[in-house]
Amino acid sequence: MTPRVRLALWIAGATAGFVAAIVVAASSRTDQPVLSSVLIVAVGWAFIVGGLIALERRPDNRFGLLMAGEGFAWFLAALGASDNSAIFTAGYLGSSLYLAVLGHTILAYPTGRLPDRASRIIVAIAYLITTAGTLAVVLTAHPRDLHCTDCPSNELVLAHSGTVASALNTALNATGFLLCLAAVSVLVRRWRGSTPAARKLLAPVFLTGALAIAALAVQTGLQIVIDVPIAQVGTNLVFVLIPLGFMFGLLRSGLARSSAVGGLIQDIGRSSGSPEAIRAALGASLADPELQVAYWIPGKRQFVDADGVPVFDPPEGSRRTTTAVEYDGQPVARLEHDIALADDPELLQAACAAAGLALANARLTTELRTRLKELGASERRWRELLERVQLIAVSLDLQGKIEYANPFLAQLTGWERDELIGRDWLETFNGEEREYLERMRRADVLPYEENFIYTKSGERRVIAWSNTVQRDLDGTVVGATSIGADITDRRTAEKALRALLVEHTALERVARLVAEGRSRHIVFERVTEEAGRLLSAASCNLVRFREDGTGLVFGGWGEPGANPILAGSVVQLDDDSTAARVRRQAGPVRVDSYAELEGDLARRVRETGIQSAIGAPIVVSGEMWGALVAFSLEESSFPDGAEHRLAAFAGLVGLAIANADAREQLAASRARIVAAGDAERRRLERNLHDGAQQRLVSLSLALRLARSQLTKDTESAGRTLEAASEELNLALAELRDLARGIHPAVLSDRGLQPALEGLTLRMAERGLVVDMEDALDQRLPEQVEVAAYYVVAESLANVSKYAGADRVSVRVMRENGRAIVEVRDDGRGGADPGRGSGLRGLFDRVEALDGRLSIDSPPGAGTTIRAEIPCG
Amino acid sequence: MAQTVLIVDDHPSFRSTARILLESEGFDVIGEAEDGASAIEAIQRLAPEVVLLDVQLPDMDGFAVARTIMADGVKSAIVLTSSRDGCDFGSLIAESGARGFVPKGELSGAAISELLR
Repeated sequence: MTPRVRLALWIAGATAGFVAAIVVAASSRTDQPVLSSVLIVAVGWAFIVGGLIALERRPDNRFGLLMAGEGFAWFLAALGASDNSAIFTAGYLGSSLYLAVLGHTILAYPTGRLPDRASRIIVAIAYLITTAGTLAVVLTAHPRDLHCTDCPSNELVLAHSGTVASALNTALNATGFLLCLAAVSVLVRRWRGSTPAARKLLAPVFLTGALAIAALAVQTGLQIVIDVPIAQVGTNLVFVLIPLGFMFGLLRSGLARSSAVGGLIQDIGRSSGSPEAIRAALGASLADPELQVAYWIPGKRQFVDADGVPVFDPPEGSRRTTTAVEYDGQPVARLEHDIALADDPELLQAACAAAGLALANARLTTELRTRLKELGASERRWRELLERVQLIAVSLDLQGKIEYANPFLAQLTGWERDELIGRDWLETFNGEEREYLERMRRADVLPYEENFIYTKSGERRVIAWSNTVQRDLDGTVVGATSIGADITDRRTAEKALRALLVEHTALERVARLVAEGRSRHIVFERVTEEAGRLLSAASCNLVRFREDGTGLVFGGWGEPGANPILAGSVVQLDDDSTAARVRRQAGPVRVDSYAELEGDLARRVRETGIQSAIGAPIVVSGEMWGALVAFSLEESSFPDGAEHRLAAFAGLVGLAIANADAREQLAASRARIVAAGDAERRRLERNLHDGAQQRLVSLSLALRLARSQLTKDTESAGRTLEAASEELNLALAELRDLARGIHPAVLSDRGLQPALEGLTLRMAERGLVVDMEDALDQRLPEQVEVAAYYVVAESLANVSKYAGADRVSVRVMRENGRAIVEVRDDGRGGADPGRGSGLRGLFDRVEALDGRLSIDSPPGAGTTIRAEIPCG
Repeated sequence: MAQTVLIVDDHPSFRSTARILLESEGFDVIGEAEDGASAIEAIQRLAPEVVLLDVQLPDMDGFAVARTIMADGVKSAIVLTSSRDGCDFGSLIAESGARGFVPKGELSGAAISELLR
């Protein structure tokens, strides 16, 4: 509400008072015009002045407006004294509105708002009966109906009914009576629920208000009973007490404020200035013994109590609220107090201002306490951490004495913790670190370093340290604290990992040589050097196992100056030397000492200065080929598992040998196939030349001769032609045989079975009985059929030529996706595949199809040739 | 007077047919040999005017036989023959000192006479 509006209200209030005074004074119905006017005006102005003063103090509080409104309503009712019927009617119509406003004002004290539902209902009904209710009466009654015989006429009577009006009037009075009782009840209940601080504030208005309402109730009650208007002088006098009570309250609170602030200043001055003393003083001066003070801690951006415990806002709906206290423009504290004190902000502000400096000091005290408390808690946490952490924590003084050692150090080193305190660090754990003490004294410790400590049992542990010097308050170095991690296991693992990496790299280099198909010689040389260097051997050799139980030693690699280990010599592998054990055990072995070993080889090795060795087998295509052996000039010098690491190299050697063997066999097979082709062509050419070609030449000559003889000697010509015919038949037969030798046409056209039957028949012509068993239910792939045919044909030819057998059996079948061809005779045996080209050619032919040919031909016990050829 | 001929070939059927053929054309076949060694011996012994010499013999080839008898100063005219084509032997025929080459399939007295002229 703006000051201009308030000024207008002041003027309106004064005007209304004068108008009311004139109306009352001029009324013919007033016995004592002056006294009545003064009384009327005094009551009305008391409300208006009280209300406007309240508005001036709290423009945002509607209580002042309500009280001023009561004054205006009061003057409205005074118009009812007029002799003028129109003014009378207006006053008649508003004659009881002031009662509703009065109830509203009292129930809304001190905030200007109705605080509960009961109040709102009471006030609403009060307004209803004083407006609508009164209007109903005014519309139906003349003043005389209500015992005013000299009143002017009612201008608003629409449906006159004295009975109805009287009944209505009685009902309104009864309702008003009940509302008065309800209002008093509400005020009493509210009073009883109030805190002392609130009662102090409520008392003047509540007491006068309750008295006025009670008086009104009595008056209304009497009117109902005797149905006669009662002189309102007493009630009016009681009404005027309300604004007076309010004014008294203001006056008293002003005085109380001065007194409270004065007392507060005195109390604080006399107190120790502690947070608790200040709280007590504030509580006493504000009549709120439960008042609490919370202090602002800027670093935490939080309010805490005197003990440093965080304080939160009071819960909503509680009767507590907070008021911030600032000092010198800075937040200092917050008061948590009775919500009633908010209605006297001047008192709060005065108290806060008076206590500002003391609160600022108390805040510093509280902040210090809080910090100390946090520091204590932090130290406890760190201490607890150091006690539990799986790291070494140790503090030394400048003399190197242990001031603090955590349990982990004791646990790691095997010392009792109590024994450690006061002991000399260097003497206890590491006598070589004297430089550390010097650095500590110079405040120059390395922030991070690694060194060793020795446990009580003498075990060496690798520790990674983080160091920091300790200073006193003057900044003087008084010692150092270190945190150490035991990294022994990690270092060991790293070392193993590095060794593994080196080993893998070495293996990879060898593997690359193997993959590139380098010669055995180069692979042997590199393997022995890589394995020897990796295992820190003095030398490394290969031994080739031979069938007679001896071994051929290949020169390998040796450190400069190392004696060659019998390179190139043949040694007996029948003792306990390394290579012999590898041969017997077919696995990696180690010989930690040659000192006590017996046997020729062991002795010869020992003579070269060798003290220990490890060995691993070289396996080629499932067969023990030899051994890879590494030697040392010291006993037990190879680490655990070294023989297994050597085995990885031996494996690569085996692979290299197998590869080389395979390459050699492949090359030999190719060469044989080419040579066989060449030989076959030569044979064909020779056969053609010597056989069919010669016969055809002779035939040609014979035909020419016969032609010349025809004219001279027909008989001779006939003989010549006869001879030529025979020559031609022979030539044809030879050509047929030749063609069959190149490739049997029946094999392509009709399959393996008819071709083999043909073979059987021709063998029978040569006197060899062949027992043929063909168990094939369908044709084989063409290449397999051809190979199978030649296995049988070549075998039968060999039987026919060399075996001297009586019987031959041929078996052909399919088994597990392979064609099996077996030719078995009962001849003299002893067939050697390396001797003739025929059998060798069969091997090549079968192996070219990824098959396998075996010959079992013990002397005197027949020969079995068996081929297994995959069917694709 | 008919010219004397020695037939050297390891195939009997050829020798007999050649003999009948050459004799029918007026040559006097005075002997036969089946390999190089017996051929040299027969030439030295019989001194034929013409030697019909097969290139391919079991123990040595016809060129070697030709070189041997030429080196011995034998005057016989040597006619090489073979069931192969003369081109197959490249310059060997020309360098052998023989009068010429007659393929076996074209052998006739006329062909030999032609070479002897």
